[in-house]
Amino acid sequence: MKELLTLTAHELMAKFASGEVAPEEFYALQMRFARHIEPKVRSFLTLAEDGIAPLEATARDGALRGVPVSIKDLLTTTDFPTTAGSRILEGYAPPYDATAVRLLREAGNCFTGKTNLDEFGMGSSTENSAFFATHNPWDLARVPGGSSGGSAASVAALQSVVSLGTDTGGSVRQPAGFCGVVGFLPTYGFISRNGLIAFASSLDHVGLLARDVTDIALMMNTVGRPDRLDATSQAPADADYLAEMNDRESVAGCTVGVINQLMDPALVSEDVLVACEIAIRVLENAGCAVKRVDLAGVERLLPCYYILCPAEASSNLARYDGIRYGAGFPADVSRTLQEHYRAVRSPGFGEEVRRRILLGTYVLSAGYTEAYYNQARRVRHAIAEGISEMFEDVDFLFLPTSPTTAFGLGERIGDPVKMYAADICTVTANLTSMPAISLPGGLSAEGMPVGIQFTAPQKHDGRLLALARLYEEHAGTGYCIPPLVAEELAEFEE
Amino acid sequence: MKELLDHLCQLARLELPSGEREEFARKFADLVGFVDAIKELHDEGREVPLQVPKERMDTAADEPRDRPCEGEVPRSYAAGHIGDLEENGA
Repeated sequence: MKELLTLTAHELMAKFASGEVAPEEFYALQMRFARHIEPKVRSFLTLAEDGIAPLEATARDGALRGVPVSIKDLLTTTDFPTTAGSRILEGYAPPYDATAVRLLREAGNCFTGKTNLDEFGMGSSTENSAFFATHNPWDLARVPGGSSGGSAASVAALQSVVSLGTDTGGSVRQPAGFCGVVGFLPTYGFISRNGLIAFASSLDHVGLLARDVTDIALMMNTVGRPDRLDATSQAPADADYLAEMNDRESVAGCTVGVINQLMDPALVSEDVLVACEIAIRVLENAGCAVKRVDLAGVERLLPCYYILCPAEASSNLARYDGIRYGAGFPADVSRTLQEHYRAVRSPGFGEEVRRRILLGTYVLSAGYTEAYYNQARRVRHAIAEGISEMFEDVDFLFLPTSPTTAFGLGERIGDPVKMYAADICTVTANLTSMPAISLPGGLSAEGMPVGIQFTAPQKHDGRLLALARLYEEHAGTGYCIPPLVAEELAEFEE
Repeated sequence: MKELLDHLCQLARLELPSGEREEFARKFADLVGFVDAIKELHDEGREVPLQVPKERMDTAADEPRDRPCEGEVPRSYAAGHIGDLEENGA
């Protein structure tokens, strides 16, 4: 029975439908294995209890149901604490479910727990969690990526079948690439941000992680819905992502643009470049036309992102004052308000969060707004225009997910600028609100997963999934079980 | 850099642990240098896309406030009193 743990969500749903295994039975097995391997990988901040009540699957046809899902601890849940990976929210019990969580719950899914992350989503390695670092299931001495590192590790290590993550500058796609799973960033507003603890609101997305593209489409059919609780929600009410994914006509003879500047050997490691060139050949064999294109202003991407993102973060994180919830509550009334704020916020935030709050405060402060913040907004607008022009010539864009494979734990944590460089291939999609997907692109010479990435124009999410599925079918480089996980599964006694 | 950091900490209601200040300042200076690249671009002629109504775009001077707020809600105030405030037109 333990072989069922290696199945995708749609394969599992077929087993549920045939009566071969009951969802409750599978969930119990899933939780036992999640606990078995957790001491090695450390994906979870909170693991669920083993037993669940019989599931009432009420989802419509073509949606995910009865499948165990892990949830990044940046999304609110009523039955688990929600910490955002931060001491300042330790023990916080939200009074409501995030909309994406509620939709999964209503569809009859069960949750394996809350996954580890960089504090408030600020990081690219999950080492900035206030609690502990997560390990990459392919090599425990390396990072799983971040900030949704716990989510990606949980899917790769067979601790959950799919996962809800969040992506502000690559936080779903980069860990998906590092852990060898699929990571999807929908168009901004296609999954409600209600219940997503705000980091940088104009860049924040809820994203999805799974072992194949079909599972992403099934998840989108459940969570990709309009929501009146999110003022920026713009998801179509009647979209069927599974049908759109299977519509091969929509991608027949399409043109894929390869961004030259993000395939530069000075920027991207040889292992990643080799995998990308192989992926390009796969696309050509699948009938796609490939065109090399230039993206002007690549050198602007990271400075632009690292101005806008901390600016929004410094504003969003001002709410953590220890007055109404979280650390410092109830307030010590012998202190003045200012003393109380400082006493709660200073130890409550980790080093990276403090750094970004201060950088955001700096770029928004009087006298600097024009030079930094307004300039970054101009650059963002120019990048979006450049991408729009590109999509007049090509249907999709291709680029690596990350310039390197997973790096070692501790290797970059002392150098923020070096850490930020890991985001160069992913921030464009967040800055321009376009959908993007990271797919497994084979293994490096060292046996580590390499991620490749496709993007599409805004609101072409279904068509992007169709291209991803086409690639997946032709590539033969989809998810495979990390050797360490295979060993643990072999030893696991049901 | 030290004075700048002190000012920013006041604005952001943060304190840096004394043992970490030097290292933090060094990394922060690196970051400021990193984002400074945006100033070298010559896009000043391009209009800044509006995110909020124009009349609300002017920013006030940044003045750290270290005194009790006027009209502060009483210490005994609890969330259950919200209805009372609404009834009083607050």
